[in-house]
Amino acid sequence: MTPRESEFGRTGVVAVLGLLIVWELLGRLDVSMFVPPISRIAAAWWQLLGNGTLATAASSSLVSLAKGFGPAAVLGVAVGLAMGRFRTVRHLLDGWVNALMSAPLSALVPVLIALFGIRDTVVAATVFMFSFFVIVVNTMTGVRGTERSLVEMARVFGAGEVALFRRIYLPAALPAIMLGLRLGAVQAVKGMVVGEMLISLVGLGERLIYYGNTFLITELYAVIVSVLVLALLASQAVQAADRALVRWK
Amino acid sequence: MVLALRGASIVAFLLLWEWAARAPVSFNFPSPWATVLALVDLVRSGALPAATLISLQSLLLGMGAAVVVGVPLGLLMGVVGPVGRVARVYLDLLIALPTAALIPLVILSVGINVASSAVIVFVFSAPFVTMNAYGGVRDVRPRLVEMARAFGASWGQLLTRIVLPSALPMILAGVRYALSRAFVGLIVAELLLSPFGLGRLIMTARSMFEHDRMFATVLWTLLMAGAALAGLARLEARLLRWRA
Amino acid sequence: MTPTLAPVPITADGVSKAFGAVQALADIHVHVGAGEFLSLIGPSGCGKTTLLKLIAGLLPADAGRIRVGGRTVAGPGRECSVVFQDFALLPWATVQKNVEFGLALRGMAAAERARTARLAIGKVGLSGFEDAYPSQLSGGMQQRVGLARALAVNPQVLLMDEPFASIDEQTRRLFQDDLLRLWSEERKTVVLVTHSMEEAVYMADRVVVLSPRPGRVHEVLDVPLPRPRESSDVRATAEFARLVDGVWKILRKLQ
Repeated sequence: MTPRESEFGRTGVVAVLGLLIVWELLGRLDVSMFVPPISRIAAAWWQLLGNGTLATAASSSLVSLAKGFGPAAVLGVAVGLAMGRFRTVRHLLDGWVNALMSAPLSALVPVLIALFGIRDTVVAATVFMFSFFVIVVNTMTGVRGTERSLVEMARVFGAGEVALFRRIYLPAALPAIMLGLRLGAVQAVKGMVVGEMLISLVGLGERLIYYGNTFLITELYAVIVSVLVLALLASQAVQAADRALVRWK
Repeated sequence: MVLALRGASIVAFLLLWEWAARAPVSFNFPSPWATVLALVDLVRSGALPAATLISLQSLLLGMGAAVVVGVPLGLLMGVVGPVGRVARVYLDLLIALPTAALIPLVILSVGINVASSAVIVFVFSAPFVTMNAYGGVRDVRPRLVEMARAFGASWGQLLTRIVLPSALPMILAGVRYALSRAFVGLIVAELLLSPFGLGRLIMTARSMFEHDRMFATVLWTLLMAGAALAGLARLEARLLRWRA
Repeated sequence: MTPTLAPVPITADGVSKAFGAVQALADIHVHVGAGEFLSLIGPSGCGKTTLLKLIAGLLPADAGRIRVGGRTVAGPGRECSVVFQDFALLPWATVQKNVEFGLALRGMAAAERARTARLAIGKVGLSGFEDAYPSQLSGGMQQRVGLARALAVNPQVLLMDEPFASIDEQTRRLFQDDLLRLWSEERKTVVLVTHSMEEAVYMADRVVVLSPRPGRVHEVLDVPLPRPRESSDVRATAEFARLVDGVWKILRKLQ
């Protein structure tokens, strides 16, 4: 399933504002202790920002994100290209890739913990795991979707393997690669949260566990919002790169 | 030829695993054989079947609720334009949010029990079922609606004879994807909530350094998830036999 | 078994239709006699498909009135059946179920439905294909299913929107002859929208030429060619060529 582009626009703004207003009202009416008014959530968020908690947690999260997503992107595209181009490689690996892409990879986090101990490396590894397979599959699909006629044409003009890759396969697969990276970025953030929550040591995920355990509900919401913002920013960042790179679409 | 390659990759994996078990890695990496033995032991002792049952219970409850709520909601969104446009914004946000972040909130409000696992499964899977039902309705060929109207179809007949069958492929694909998300949510919930299901088995084994048991349970969980998804894919193929 | 119903006439009086700022049809006056075969032709965008949809009751007219038999058209009615250019078959249903579609909507009992549908399938020459899916059939065969579906509900009027446009020429010619044969056995009032001048003349008793947007009835030509045409060499006659050329000359001036 491909997540559709979030068409924010006017409906989006109106819908979100409407939700915030309703929430604020319900919060003021004290409907439930689990629905605090937006104003208090905002205040808590502001406070957490001020005393540095958010900054520390977010920077740790971002570092893990980068350490995990970077290699996943590079390796993922490389493996995807290989699988797309060479039938042998594809048959060797596609069983694993497809199986692992839809598998509950969170089940493997305890294995990672046993392997690395309770350290932030586990988070980076989880991020890698969550994003790698999506990137591979999309890259592979992109390469396989290259028009035969373009390849034949290039061959007629004497293109060798390297030239074929650089001038035909890579540009043709670029839209799919960018889509894979965007989906991978979203998955990476999810992996980051899961990893951090399970080791409960550092980062935004740890804060979620902490505020949950201590019943600090407004702070909890503040962190949830921060995580959402981070996820949206990550997706937008890749989308911006996409627009910059794939201008001919 | 293809089969040989796939077989070779599995053999290579097992060899790699065996090597890792013998190499000086940071902990007692169990060998494939040790894992199998632990698996058999867990099944015989009844621990694995019991945990599986508890996990499946939460999964079925959560997924069931997701389908019962998500499909009609998605259909409503598709049929009533403004509802669709507004609800879609909320769903997009829900899908973008790392759903695991909502787990502490659910635990706080619902408590630590099977119900909260089911709620978490629901939150993980419902948005995808809904979005796909929505997409399925939006993709209905206008021509088919026109044709049915030309034959005098009523609104109810349009819904049951044109819209639903047209949207079915997308709905089923959505359910399949939602199931994979449901498993993710289930496992994360159980790893955190400890007292229940397969997640508990995994965490207990790890904390007691019984790595062969941990591996066995993880492997079992992955295989079960894979089997469930493959089963659903087969059901999907059967229901959609008419596709070119 | 319901006996075939007698065909009914169609009358359009001062009919107009606009889509927003675009005037598709203006002041249309057309009369189709009961059991007559009428072709509707015109330059692209002249509104011939719109007129067909108005007769079918799929669109409301802005002005004027359309009557089918004794009824003033206010929505889809039982007298009319439509055949679509892109077949409009349910991809998830077999040929049998597709042909039963209109009957099922009207609440016909299952056994009778199946029998009626099978008869219609036989009439269009698809016996044996009842359990096939549309994706397994060629374009020509799919359209035959569309025709069987239209005939199964025992219509008095058959409205056809460029039914042969998506079919290759050889299949098309065979299909045209089959349609004429069916029509001679069970007389219905037929309105055929087409962009083929040859087809318009070959099939019809009269050809109505619409002007470019906003569409008006520009000219009506009689086609006095003898029937039956399907087993004859009428296409090779000078009279046929003259008539087709006549239509072309009119259309050329309208471009």
